[in-house]
Amino acid sequence: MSPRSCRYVLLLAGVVSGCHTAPQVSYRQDVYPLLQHNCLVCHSPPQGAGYLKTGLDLTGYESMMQGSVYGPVIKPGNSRHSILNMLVEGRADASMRMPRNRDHPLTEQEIGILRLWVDQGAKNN
Amino acid sequence: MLKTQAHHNAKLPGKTVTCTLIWLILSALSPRSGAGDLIDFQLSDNGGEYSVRVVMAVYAPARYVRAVLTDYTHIYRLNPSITESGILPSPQPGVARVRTLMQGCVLFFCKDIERVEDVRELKSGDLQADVVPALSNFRSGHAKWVIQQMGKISRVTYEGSMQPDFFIPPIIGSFFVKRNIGKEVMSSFRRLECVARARAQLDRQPYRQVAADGIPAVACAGQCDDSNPGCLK
Repeated sequence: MSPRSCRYVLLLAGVVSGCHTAPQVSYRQDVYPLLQHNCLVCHSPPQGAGYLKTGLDLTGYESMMQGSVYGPVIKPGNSRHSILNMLVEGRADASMRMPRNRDHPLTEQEIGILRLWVDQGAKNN
Repeated sequence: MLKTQAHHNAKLPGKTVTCTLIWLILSALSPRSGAGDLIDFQLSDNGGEYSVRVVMAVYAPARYVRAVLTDYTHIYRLNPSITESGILPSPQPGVARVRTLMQGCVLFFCKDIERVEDVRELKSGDLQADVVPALSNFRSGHAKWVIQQMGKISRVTYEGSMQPDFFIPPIIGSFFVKRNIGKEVMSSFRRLECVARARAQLDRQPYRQVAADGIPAVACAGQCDDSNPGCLK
């Protein structure tokens, strides 16, 4: 198991076990690597297809928090109403599930990390 | 979000809402509205059936307004309360069956509200939506959107009615329910304008060019964001 996977497992185990103090998710250590692996092929300037279509640039924290031309995609503290979470979880129409053009959606583990990070305030930590 | 059909061109029931109440609601909404010019706003409660009529000048071409309203896969862009959405199998040709799940909150009372609507594009270009009660938390619901080009902008009329099929604690009362419906509709109008403008902009020039011209990456985020309305005006 890679160090990153190991960290994910530990993070989720803390949540599932019902700890009142959920482990802190780190943007740099947990979220960015996940985005890099799954999203940046499309959501990177200047040529990424997703970037060209919507303006959503996921290469940095600031650009991600700015959102797309249609508005912010993350609502800090509220993953239920965050469009990024909706899209990776398949809560918008199935055809919209992200990442597009890939064989597999994000794993439950990865979805859980993004959800927890947003619910913890989507910090640049 | 979409409602009315039979009530179109008919007098709204229970038009007993006082001007004072309307202006109270409008004044509560207007500082954050950020959308085009409000021409008419009526809201009423007729024994548990809520009706709303909004007429607004939307600063986007009519074809883009219509395109956004019929882009059902992206319907979540139009209302921040939507937590799930999707297109269900169509019951008949020419009808789109659209499902939304919204979290509605009035004061301390929050509820997930499911709505499935059959949406038709009429020959006139107007849109008509009818709630499917068996699949929704509504006993009934109808809506009609009329979109007219008005020079470079659009005049958009929304008329809708709905009858919730869930318990609303009496302490919340009609006033707060109506206020919440008004907020939701106005919020949708703000987003409709924002998304339609963004699409029109992207149609004129690819995003790469938009960015190269120095237009902020989130040209319309401010408009979509309740905290910063009207940034493109």
